[in-house]
Amino acid sequence: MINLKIDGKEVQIAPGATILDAAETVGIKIPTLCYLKKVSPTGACRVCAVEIAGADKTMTACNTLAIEGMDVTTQSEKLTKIRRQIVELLLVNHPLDCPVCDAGGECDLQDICYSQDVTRQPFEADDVNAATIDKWPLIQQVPNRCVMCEKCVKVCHELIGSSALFVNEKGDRAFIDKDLDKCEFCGNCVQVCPTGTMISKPFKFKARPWELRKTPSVCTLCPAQCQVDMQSKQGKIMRVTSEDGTTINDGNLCIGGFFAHDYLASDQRLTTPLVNKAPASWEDALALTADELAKAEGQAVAGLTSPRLTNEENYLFQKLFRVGLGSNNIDSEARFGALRAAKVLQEQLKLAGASNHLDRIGSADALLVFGTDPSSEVPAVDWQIQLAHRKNDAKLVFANLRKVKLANQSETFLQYKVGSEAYLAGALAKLIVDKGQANNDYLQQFVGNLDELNSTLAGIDLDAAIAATGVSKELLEEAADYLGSAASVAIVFGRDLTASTQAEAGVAALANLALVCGAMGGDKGGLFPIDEKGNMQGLLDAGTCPEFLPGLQPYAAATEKFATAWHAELPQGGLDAAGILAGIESGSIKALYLAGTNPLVDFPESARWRKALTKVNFLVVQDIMSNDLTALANVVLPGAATTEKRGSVTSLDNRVNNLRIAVDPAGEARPDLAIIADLFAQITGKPAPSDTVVRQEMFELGGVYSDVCQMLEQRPFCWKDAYAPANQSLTAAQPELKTAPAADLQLLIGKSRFQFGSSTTLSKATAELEAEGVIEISADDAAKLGLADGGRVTLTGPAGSATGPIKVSEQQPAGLLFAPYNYAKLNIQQVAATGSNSVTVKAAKA
Amino acid sequence: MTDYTQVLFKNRRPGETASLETYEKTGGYEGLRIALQKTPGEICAQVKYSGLRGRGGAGFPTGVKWSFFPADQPGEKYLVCNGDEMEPGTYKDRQLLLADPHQLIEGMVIAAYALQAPVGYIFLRYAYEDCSQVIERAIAEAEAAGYLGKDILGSGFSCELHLHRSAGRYILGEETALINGLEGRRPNPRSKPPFPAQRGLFGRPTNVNNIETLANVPHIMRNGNAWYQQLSAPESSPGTKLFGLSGHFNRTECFELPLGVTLREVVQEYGGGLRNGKRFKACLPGGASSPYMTAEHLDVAMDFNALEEIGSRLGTAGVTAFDEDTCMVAVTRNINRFFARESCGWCTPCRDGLQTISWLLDKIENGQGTEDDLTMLHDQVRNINGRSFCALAEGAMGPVEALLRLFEDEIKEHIRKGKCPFG
Repeated sequence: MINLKIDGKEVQIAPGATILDAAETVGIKIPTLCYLKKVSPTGACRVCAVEIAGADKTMTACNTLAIEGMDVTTQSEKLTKIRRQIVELLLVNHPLDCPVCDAGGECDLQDICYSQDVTRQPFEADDVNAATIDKWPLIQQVPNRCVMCEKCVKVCHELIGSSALFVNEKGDRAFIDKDLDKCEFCGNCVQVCPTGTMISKPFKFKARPWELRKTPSVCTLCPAQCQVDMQSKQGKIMRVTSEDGTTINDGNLCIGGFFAHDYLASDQRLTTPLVNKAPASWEDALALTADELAKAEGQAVAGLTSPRLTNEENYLFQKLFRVGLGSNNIDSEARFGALRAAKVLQEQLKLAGASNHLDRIGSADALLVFGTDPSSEVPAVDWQIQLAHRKNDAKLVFANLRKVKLANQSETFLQYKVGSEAYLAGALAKLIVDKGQANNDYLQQFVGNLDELNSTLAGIDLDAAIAATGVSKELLEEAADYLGSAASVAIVFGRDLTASTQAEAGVAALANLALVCGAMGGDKGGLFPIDEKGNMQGLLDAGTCPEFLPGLQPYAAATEKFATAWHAELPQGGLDAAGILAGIESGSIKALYLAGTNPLVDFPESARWRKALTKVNFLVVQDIMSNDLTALANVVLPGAATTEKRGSVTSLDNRVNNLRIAVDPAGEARPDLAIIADLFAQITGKPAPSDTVVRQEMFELGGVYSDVCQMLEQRPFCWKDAYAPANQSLTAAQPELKTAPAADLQLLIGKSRFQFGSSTTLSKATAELEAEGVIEISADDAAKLGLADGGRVTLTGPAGSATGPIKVSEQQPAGLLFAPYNYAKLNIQQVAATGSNSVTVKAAKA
Repeated sequence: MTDYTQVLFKNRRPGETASLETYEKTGGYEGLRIALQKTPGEICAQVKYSGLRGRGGAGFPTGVKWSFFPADQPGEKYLVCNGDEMEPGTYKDRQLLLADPHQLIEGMVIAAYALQAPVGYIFLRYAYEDCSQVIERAIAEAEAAGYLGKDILGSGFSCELHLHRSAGRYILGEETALINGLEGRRPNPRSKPPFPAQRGLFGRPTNVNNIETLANVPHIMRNGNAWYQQLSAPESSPGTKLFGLSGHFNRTECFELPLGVTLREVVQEYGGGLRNGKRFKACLPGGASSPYMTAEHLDVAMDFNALEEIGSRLGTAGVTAFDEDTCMVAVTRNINRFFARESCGWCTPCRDGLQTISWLLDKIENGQGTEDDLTMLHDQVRNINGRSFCALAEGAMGPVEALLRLFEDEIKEHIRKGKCPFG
């Protein structure tokens, strides 16, 4: 420890700390302006000047290291004068347009003028500021308000890793400029801007900061579930922000959290129940629904629910079906990806969700990011990768079909071929074992069938793997070496894999790889399955599929336990999504309850679903937006958005978060739990359960919830039980290795980097970036089709055709197209086959 | 032209660049042969005891700088030659390169060996197209002759040199900005510590030296410290120095003179007095960032310590003279504009302070200045000095501070008359 004196106080601090850090520990506040704790010190503004005994110059506290025996003075007449003059210099050519500046009232420059008693603008100089930049989407840049603290540049580079912002020009002409192609529109530059330089265009002139009511809650657009403040005025969310230091995401947000929230104010919001398209009372709508569902009970009724609903809502939804309707025909879109991975991980590794907390990605020594683009699917995972890779020098191995952002930053980029995922993961595991780099202690302790694991890996033909994946031996060896030699490894995988034909085999092979490199063995790293939908983990935990009861407990094995607890006999069998679809087509399913899910856009074979849904006898749709689906429904029940109701949601790393009510539901809309509870009461004749009761029951019966609860400032959350497998309890699998047949042109369906599900396509903000779904294509393939950007192409796949505009992208390899599933208009899911997000297609100029 | 011993310029011929052959005939690469017989530590010690001081402007003892370098640390280490000669009034490195470039190559190989930093970069000013050709040719010749490349002169030591041309900004002369520039980043100075010797180019230990400094090293190796120290009179500033004359001199040329010659000798003997027989009023003794000297300083010895004693700096020894008809407010305003323009814009005192000084000097020069402006100017200089992120703003304060100290009457005359007294 280092001992120093600050303003006469003795301070002890670890080596490497700055004077500012040291002062903070004893409650001494040194004024700062360019300092931002979460990035490296800048030392640009010079406001934090302090005196050090024996030094002839003043030093800046933010970037001067504390040294043994240092004697620091932070307050003196000399320092006051220096600081005041610095602030006066900052006011040179500052417009003082505070009345019309969006930062007015929350401006660090205003605050520091007050605190340093700067009451005049004594200095002048030629005004050579760059003109206001209006041409960027969503964000306006006003250079003459800029104090050049570079917080925005550093956040963009160090934390988000997009490095879009940079300083252009020099001297007092210097201004913050942007490489638009690299911008992710996360809005963090706006959040960290101390003045009104970086302005959110959608929020501009909407409210003064003091008019806004802050409701601490979580963002549910993706499963990272960042802690946010919903800021509302007159019952409307005006902006969403997050606080540094007090939130699990340290104040960082993505385009979803920061900009996309305006979809909630869309004029397509449902505000009243509808019966046969006509407004109806809740009483009538619910009575009719209860009646029709009960009438069709048992095998003739089915329900599909959603990762957009809360834990309690999904829990009660499955209970309604199993107890109230005697039907196990329940499923969700988890079927097409997340559930497939969850089943493999549950069986092999006894793992539900991630094996470790999100921040353990950031502390890992090596990273394997496999079959996912976290920058798009779960940006907070990307930030952890940036942290590990940039700050802690972790090695990044990036395995993807496309050359997306992280590919360019990785040490090793493994660009594999469609359908070769199991081969790729298998080859990496084999190489690690062959080199003697496997974590043998971990394997001996935890793996029950070690011999099988060894024989499985020994049986992998490396040449066949090289041929199947299209990845060279050198790259495979390099990647295996990074993963094999690292003390801790984080493995992240996602939708490209889990929604593909390779989901089961690929995840099994990755599980083997995770065992071999000891990813789940320590405090750092871990195995992280990710799925982009907000409460996917909560949906899985709630047991909303025929195979599982709550807590991912196998249905048959846990039936008795739940039957006893529920005082009911549980139904046998049960149809999954495909079975339900076939059941509707054959006429055996007569009533369908859709809660927060839209098969017309979200599900593969969406055209087939559309046809089926027009046929079903009774269709009830509970949702927040009117759309093609609600137009087909017999009854429409308007639900509340996650900003308008209570409940809990579970993040991908098993953090159970409480939602808070920021604004009232739109019109007559009701919290979804109240709707389901009402139906439950009407159908079972029991009292409608309150959210507390549902939650209590879910915690008790689910078996996955611990009582480890924490509070970050005003933000309570609970961790689920930590992953702690018993000795010899893990099993290695023997995934089937297949070589995918060659295809001229394939289509990968995934998530738009600007959209979250289909709801945010109603956001005016995100529409500025991608208004309709764009098909990304390599320059080669575009040339073959004779198309340029904006030209339209019709893609025909196993389930049908879709037409949309193209964009030539360097991310796409020749022979592979990418299209986002989010857009109802493009509706690319009508091309896809169930169980396969990458399909062979024929393309034709439209 | 001069009776003084010529070391760096001994092969200088008008319009000619010394070939490898010429260089070898006059003892070239003998210093390298001698150095390779020694241990790296012995070379560092010799350079330290020679008393050689950095020729880039600061005059820091070269051997001391080398002694900070972790030569024993394993892994990549870099030697960088700072050839970004952008100080206004300074052109001596260019003259040196055009006259006899192998001195630099030999000096760098010796330094690379002494510091165990076998990869070197020559960071050259953007505008020096002619020098870049000269360097490239010298590198190729040295490689072909076995003075550079693998297993140099059979010693087992290998060294590679790369030429990098600057993007062309003054701030690149700051060594950490230069390192950022070499890495392809925006050339903002870096926070110190860590110093380049600890973490410099590509995060590795890096030693940065000026061209003229490195060019002195082979001569020291070949002729020894006693010889080197007798080249000049002052004990604290041994060796010769290239003086680049500019401004109102009759002769604006570059001369190699012993450190410690008087300013009078420089002005009278080498500058040939001032043009049109005018009287000497003032000069910048070492580039635009060195405080002015005036006629009262004509007998001051031009060495590092003597100039510090009178409140100036030897800097690069690029001497710019101003005659009696020159308005020093106008000169200072002009220089300050340069620094304000070349500021990177990173820190407040430099970005906004230099502009404020420009505003004040404009007002005074244009006859709109007041006593309050003079007070404010004093205040600004005090507040910028020692407060900025790097040394650029501090350098910029050199002439402004000297203006206030030496020419206050002239400033007041501007204020009193409401116009520039020089018309």
